[in-house]
Amino acid sequence: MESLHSVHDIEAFPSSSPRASVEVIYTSDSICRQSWHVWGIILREFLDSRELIWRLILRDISARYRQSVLSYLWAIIPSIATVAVFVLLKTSGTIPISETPIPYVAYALWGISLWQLFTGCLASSTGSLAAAGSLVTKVNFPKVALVFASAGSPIFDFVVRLVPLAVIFTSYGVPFKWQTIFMPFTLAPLILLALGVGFVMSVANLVLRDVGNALGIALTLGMFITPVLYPPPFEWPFVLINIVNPVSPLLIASQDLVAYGGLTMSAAFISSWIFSLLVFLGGWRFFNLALPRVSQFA
Amino acid sequence: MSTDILVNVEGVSKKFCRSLKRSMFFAAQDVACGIFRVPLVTDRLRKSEFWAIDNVSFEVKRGECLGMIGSNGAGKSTLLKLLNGVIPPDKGRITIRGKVGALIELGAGFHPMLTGRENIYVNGAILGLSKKELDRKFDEIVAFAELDEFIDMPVKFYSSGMHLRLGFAIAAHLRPDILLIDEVLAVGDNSFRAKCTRQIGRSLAGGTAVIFVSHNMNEIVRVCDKVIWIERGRIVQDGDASNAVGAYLLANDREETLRSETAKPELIEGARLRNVEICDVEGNVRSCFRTGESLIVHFDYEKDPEIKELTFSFAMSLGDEKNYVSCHSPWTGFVLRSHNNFGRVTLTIPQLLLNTGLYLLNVGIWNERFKHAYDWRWGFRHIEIRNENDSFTGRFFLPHSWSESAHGNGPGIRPGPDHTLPR
Repeated sequence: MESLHSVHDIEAFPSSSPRASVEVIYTSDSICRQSWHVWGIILREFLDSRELIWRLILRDISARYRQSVLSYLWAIIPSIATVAVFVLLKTSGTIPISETPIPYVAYALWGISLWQLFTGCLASSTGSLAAAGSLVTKVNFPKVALVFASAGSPIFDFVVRLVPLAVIFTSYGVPFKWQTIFMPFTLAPLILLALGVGFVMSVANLVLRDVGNALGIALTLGMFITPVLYPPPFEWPFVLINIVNPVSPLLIASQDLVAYGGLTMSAAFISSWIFSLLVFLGGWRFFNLALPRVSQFA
Repeated sequence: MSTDILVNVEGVSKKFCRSLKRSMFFAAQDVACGIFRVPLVTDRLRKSEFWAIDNVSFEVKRGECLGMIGSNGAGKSTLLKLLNGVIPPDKGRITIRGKVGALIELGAGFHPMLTGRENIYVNGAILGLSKKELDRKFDEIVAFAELDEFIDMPVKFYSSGMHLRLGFAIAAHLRPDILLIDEVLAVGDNSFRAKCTRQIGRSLAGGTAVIFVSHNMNEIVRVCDKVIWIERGRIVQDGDASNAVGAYLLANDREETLRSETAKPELIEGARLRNVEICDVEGNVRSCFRTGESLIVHFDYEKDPEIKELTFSFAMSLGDEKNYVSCHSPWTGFVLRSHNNFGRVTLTIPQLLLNTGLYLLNVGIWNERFKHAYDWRWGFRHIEIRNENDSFTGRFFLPHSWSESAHGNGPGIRPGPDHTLPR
């Protein structure tokens, strides 16, 4: 019977001998030893895994809602539900929320979309290594791709949420500001910050699964100490929320851009931008340093 | 060092921790040391740590196949992980020249919700193949995995065999310089195994260095040029494949043989064995024989005078508790009819036609019809048999001879269907 299959065999199995000159040495301190030029290696690894990251993003997005009827509506439903509750609480006067620059429904929906972009990236990057399981312990590939790819689904969901947002904005007659095209510049630090923290959290979560659980609680609390569903406060001591919380300036900037077409807190925004970038780079370096030591916990 | 050496392992050690809690603490400590550039003390054991790999060195050249054998938990898989670069060694250094392909966790990145087609692209990307390469090899991969009609079915509906075949097919198309294989073939059916073995043979011919872990010794001897035998993280023996496998089998036999315990028959009173002597033809008591030597067994018995008839049994078995040799005295027409209370009965086996192994000896004395045993000793002693010709792959050594026939089938004569051998 066996001879029947032999036609399917691969013609030859030659090794790619020109590449044999690539030499890798594994020792106990191979990744710690290099100092600044390690960034060359890290960036090369990232560039080499662009295609892998893209594949993993496609995999996550297309597999995510395959076994569901409402499919992509699930990207929208949670934010609409939360906003509905808060609109009810505001109009009934249960929670006093000060006047927002644009109609509250539009303001809250935009705020929560931004917030969910941040928390979505943070949560999925934290869980990315643990979810990959034996892939991490047994297969040699750039693991950093898992974390980068985990941002794909939340970003995709954010784009999906732009549809109901556009509907709400038009129906409430919010004027479109041309400055909104600078939006990517205010969204990028949000994603970088989430990934930077996610790099550290994903490694921590591999060792201690408490991290993933604690993160859920932290993010729920975080929504209330960030001006997501209320305008930024200006009276002491609540004004601290805008400054101490590094997410706030980034969120406020995106909201300002839509409401005023400009920034109200540009200094805080720029420092938050730099802070996010540093967290992102530091997290990335930490990831490269720490993962080989803890991958056995996956 | 010659560039023909693709894998060079020099004094490599790796430690693991028995306690989960403590290992988490140590991991945190190691990471902290890395961040603050504190040199790691990796060559000493901390509390509840042990060496999973201990000072292992070897090298593998282009086109060479190294087999790795050893009992479960000996450290073979850990060593493969070190070679694959998934975990760093604590001591020593591993030099890898070229692209590594690993048939270790086949289909590890498969997403159950996606179809086989989509998973080929995802898994291929994880293993480092580009979309262009995958597009070109797609049909080959599907054909190799024999999944033509199922390729658009979600992978979660695949059987374990289909899962394995798809995983292997993708990994086999990597064209690596170094191929690591960890017992992945054990799950597939025979034809698929044969196909995989052929594939490995081809990659060897193409200059790939192969490192192969298996518990199937026949496979190891057939495929590998040299073998390292690992036990408790250390190399026990390395070198020529057949020698190392022979030594491993002998040691394994010894362990299993001494452990084995079989259901005893019900014993009745009336007679017993006082002594059994294992001798060679000169009468020297021995426990080690060469294939083809004679074996003499003396049974010293004692019995009640009213018992008129006794029969004797002798069997040789291995750790698997199967008797490979049995000699029951009535088969050759021998039934002891004696009025004496004691005496000696001798069994002669003129030629021990058995191959290398550690054999367990089982003896008994029975009533005439083999219904009841008076005395029965399973594994009361063992003997070692050695065949100097290394032909340990079979259990028996049958007398045989080879010669060239004067008249064979000429080229003009078509062999009938009965004579064609499957390839």
